[in-house]
Amino acid sequence: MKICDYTMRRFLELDNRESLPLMLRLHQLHCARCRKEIAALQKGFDSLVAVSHAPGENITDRIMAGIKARGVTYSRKVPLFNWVSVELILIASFFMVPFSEVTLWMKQYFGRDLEVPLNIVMGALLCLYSVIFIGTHLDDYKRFRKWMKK
Amino acid sequence: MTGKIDDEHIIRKVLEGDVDLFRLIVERHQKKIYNIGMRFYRNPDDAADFTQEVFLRAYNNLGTFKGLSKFYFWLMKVAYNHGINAVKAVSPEESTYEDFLPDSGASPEKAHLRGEIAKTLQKALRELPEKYRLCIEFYFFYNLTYLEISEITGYPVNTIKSHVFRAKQVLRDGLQGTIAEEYEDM
Repeated sequence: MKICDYTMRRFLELDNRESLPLMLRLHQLHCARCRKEIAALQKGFDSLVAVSHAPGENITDRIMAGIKARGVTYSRKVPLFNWVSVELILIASFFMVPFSEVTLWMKQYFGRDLEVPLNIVMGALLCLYSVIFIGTHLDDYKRFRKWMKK
Repeated sequence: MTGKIDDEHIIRKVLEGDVDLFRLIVERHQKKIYNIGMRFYRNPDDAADFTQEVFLRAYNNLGTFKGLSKFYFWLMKVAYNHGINAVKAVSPEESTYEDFLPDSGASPEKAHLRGEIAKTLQKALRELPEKYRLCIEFYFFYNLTYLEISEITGYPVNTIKSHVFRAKQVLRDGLQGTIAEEYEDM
């Protein structure tokens, strides 16, 4: 009797898609009462699983149209920290490249002729990056300008 | 290569701007959401509107999906919260389950027995607050596990387990000696 109560308790504690432990299944083999009650209850529980309804019309298009109408869009976002870090690295390299070993070695061959084109290229790169940075963060830029005016 | 792309990967792509990929999510999960809608409204038109609203809400709040659990559970949670709030706002009438149970092709005897089980379950659920009733519905009607229900509702697994256990006991008591025997012969 004790094992019957335990079996029933374990059965009621079972999760969906979980089966009764082997020992209790063996108990069921020679206990007609437990076997019958578990089978009956299992059928009862199974009969409760809701019938699957399907939407009558094709609502996918309706949903996608609704999404587009609301106008919420997402775009790949690079964190502001990354943008600023790259900008700072560019600025730092602008000042440090003229003192690098390679530049000094090149200066021996080209003399001062190297300095002007090097600065133009570096300056153009920095400007280009700044334009892209500000262009993609216009809202942040406006907020920053307001903050500066205060 | 035609492997199924997982939901989380699709969501990452949508968040990077590929909005049209959200269609795949809608196609994959609309039936489940529609069924939850049927549970709340028991009316195909309202269930379809509910499905649309759930997907729109999910899309608008995609940024809040952190990817800590499966997207499906997150979507179910959106549906659950929306359903609970919508039903609260519309009518406080009590749920009946008989019309929610499968009936296609069932003989009159089977349909009658299912009705009996539904009534017994309803009796068991009457003692529970509404928020826990849905846990039991998720368990019995949607065949979800304790962990899945916990992911969706946010209630502790043990709380859900104990409520489901109690409901099963009430069902057992209610069915003992009457329908249980009949079921054995079905």
